[in-house]
Amino acid sequence: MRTGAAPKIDLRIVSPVHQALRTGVITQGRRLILSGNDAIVRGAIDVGARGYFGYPITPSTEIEEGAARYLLGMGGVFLQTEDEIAAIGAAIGASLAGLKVFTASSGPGISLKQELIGFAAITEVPLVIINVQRAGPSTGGPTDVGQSDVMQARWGTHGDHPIIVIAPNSPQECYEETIRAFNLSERYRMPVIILSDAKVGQMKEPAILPPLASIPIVNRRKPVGSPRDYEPFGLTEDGVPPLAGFGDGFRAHFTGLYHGRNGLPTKDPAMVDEQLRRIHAKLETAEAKADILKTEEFVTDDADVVVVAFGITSRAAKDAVILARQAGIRAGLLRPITLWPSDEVTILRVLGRAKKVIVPELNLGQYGLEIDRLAGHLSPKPQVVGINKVDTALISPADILREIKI
Amino acid sequence: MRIRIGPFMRPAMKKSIWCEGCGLGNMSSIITSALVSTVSKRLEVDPNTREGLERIKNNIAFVSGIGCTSRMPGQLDFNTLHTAHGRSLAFATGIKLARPELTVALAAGDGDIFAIGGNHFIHTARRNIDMTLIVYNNKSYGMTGAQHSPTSPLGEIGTSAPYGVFEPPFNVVNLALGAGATFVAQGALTTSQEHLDQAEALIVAALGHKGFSLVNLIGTCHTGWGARNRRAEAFRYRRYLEEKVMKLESWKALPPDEQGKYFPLGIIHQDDSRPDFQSSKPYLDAIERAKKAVAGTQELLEDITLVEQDPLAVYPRTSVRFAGSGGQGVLTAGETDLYAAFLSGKSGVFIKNYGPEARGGGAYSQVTISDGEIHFPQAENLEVLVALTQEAYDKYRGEVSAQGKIIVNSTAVKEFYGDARVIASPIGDLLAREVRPPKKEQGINVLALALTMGLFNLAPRGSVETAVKKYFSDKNLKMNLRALDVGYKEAERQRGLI
Ligand code: SF4
Repeated sequence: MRTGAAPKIDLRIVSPVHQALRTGVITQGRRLILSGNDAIVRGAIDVGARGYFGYPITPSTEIEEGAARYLLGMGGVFLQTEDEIAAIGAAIGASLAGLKVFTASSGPGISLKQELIGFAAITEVPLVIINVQRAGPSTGGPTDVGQSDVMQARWGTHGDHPIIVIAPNSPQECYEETIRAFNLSERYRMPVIILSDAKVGQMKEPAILPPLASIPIVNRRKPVGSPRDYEPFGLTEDGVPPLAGFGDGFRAHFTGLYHGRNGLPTKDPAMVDEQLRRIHAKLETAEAKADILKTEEFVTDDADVVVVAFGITSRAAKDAVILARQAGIRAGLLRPITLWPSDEVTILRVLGRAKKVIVPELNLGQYGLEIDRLAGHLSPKPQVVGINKVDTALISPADILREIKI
Repeated sequence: MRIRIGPFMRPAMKKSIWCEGCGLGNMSSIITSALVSTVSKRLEVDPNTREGLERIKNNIAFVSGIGCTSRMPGQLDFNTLHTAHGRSLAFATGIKLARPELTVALAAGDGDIFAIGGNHFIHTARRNIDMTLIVYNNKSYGMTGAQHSPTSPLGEIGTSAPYGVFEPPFNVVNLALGAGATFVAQGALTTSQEHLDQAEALIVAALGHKGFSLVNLIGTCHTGWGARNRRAEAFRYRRYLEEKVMKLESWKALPPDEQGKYFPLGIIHQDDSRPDFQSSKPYLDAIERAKKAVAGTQELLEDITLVEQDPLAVYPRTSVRFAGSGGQGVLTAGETDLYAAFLSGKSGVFIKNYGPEARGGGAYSQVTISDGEIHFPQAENLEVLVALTQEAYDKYRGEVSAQGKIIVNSTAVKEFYGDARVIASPIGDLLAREVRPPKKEQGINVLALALTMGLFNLAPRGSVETAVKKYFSDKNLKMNLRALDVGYKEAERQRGLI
């Protein structure tokens, strides 16, 4: 670290801001009451996002309203577009022009954005997309909570594509994980999805925003050297090519067609293969995994009943685990904060000790499929049980405790 | 000035995918020439010098969607973007907003821009964003093999209209005008050099116009649509177009029922009086207001010490619900309550109801406070309900625990059903008599909040006062502090009664 630089907080731990306060890395902060949606806007602004394009939809609209309130006055760009597709299209355009951008939506709106999520993935454009999940399918329950976009978040757009999906469970975490989402998006040159939900988005909690100087900010790597040699999809040591902004003097072509290292369309099978594998491989290095994967473990060391839960449901799960511990049951909570890609090593380590694995989620069994897949690698395979609820109410601590006790 | 377009081509893309004889080749040269001459003038550089050439190329963003036409940007050595079907205008909007100094041009086919991209077309025209859209309008989908498009003539044959097109085409010019485009021109790519020169002049004029400009170029697809409509030969198809187009002046002189048979060529509409989106007064005014607003919301850093908690302990929690009608500020009451608790080192969660349920007399905010971390945000039972209206009381009293308390605004709530948990306080009367707000019910939330906090000692009064000062700093603070005082006094009186 350069002398005189403010000490930065470490984003890899569960609540970097709380940890920084605890360890004295920072001693001050801004104390605010924020909803999850407000907190996402604050995180985006603090990490330097200056572009928002969106379309109103419940229960994500506060993100657009927040962006409308702040961005124009900070030299940024805000536009409520004609539809959800235009929102993500304009966001990708603005990102290619050099801005850090985000767009938020929910349910039907996220479905509409899918094609262009794929465009951003194959053209490797940094972009943060927020899905404040509501109950679906279709119009479903616009004000009701749901967690039924788990598989859509991973596989919603057509074709093989890499994606990072982050599932915060509180306003504080919405703030901190939005910062991380932008940093990952810039560092790995790709779209990152924040998979929030109606409850996390709407509930308010006290949040501590750290001093701006303590926030680690990652900006996309820009090309250096002669513009003639610039390869927007070239091979680099870490698999992430540099990205120039339109107008920076490093002209390039961006297309959703299969393209070569120079960005121009290609039909060469070897080049198509190289590029598609590279955009996946850039998330596979040890360093990338350390950056991207993030899982909270709560009393899992000796747990023989493990609850795996994310987002709003993880908060009920934590209460249930505490109550179970008080009743003398060795229960633990495994909470993926990065939902995709799966933190396979951590999950397998914790599941490897468990006799029973409970996956509560507000859908008919989606993340449970992934946990069941991973559990299949273990022998003996632990029992994997889902608690699935789609009646628009939350899964309560009592619902989970009952299953822990069986 | 004739521009040599060779230096603007990407060497690897010299061989295009287009059919021999297609007008797209002409269009590509014309657009390049028009872009280079316009931008070199704008930047005051010479395209024949190396430095001038670089600067011109760097200052152009050329964007497209999907289709034969949309392959054009890939050939040209500008900042180029080949987007998804129909979406080019959306992407270009993002580029132009982020980098206003760039000259942004788009090439599109008729299916791309008027069918799947129709919504973006009308809204970009409406906003008058400064960019130039050049459409190669061959009235069909070429790349997918001669299907009919929104501009295909009635009765002609396409692969998806084997018995003749039976849906009427768009009048593209009227569509653009109706959407508010400030520059609309039409040209044709025929065999005539005059038409090609005119097309280039139209694009130059469009690029020179500050605002959204459309140049609709009537073109051909001899291998696709032409082959199915007895115009399979490129030259003959282009000759055929010459009979379909007409100079604007001559067209205007036609009787109205004749006009529909021909495409007028020229600048059909140009309004330079309307500023483009990013120069428009409402946009610039909004930016100025936003700057002031943002400057006024600086948040100060405070010293913070975290209170350590036992992660495996169960801490008691208290849930308070403020319920009333929409205008009574029950949401702010809850948030102020939560902030006061936060200031005094407690944890808390705020939830609210919303949607139709929250309209009428049953809006609520609910705050759960604890010395320990709160995970599950919902409470099984309420410890305290503050009911400002009869509807709120009737609706939520069932959720209060047997040992809980219900503070009831007895000014509005007349029927208690003999509920022993009720603490009746004439909140409305106290407000009118002792706080005397300028507007009826203003301050009722602060009074009710103070009464609740005072009665149940949920946070020290100092914290409550600081919280009220924060949340009501610009909203009649004096009156609200009066309401706070009256609320605490009422809490004292009620304590005496219990
Ligand atoms: S298919 Fe038609 S529009 Fe496309 S290049 Fe060939 S002639 Fe031109």
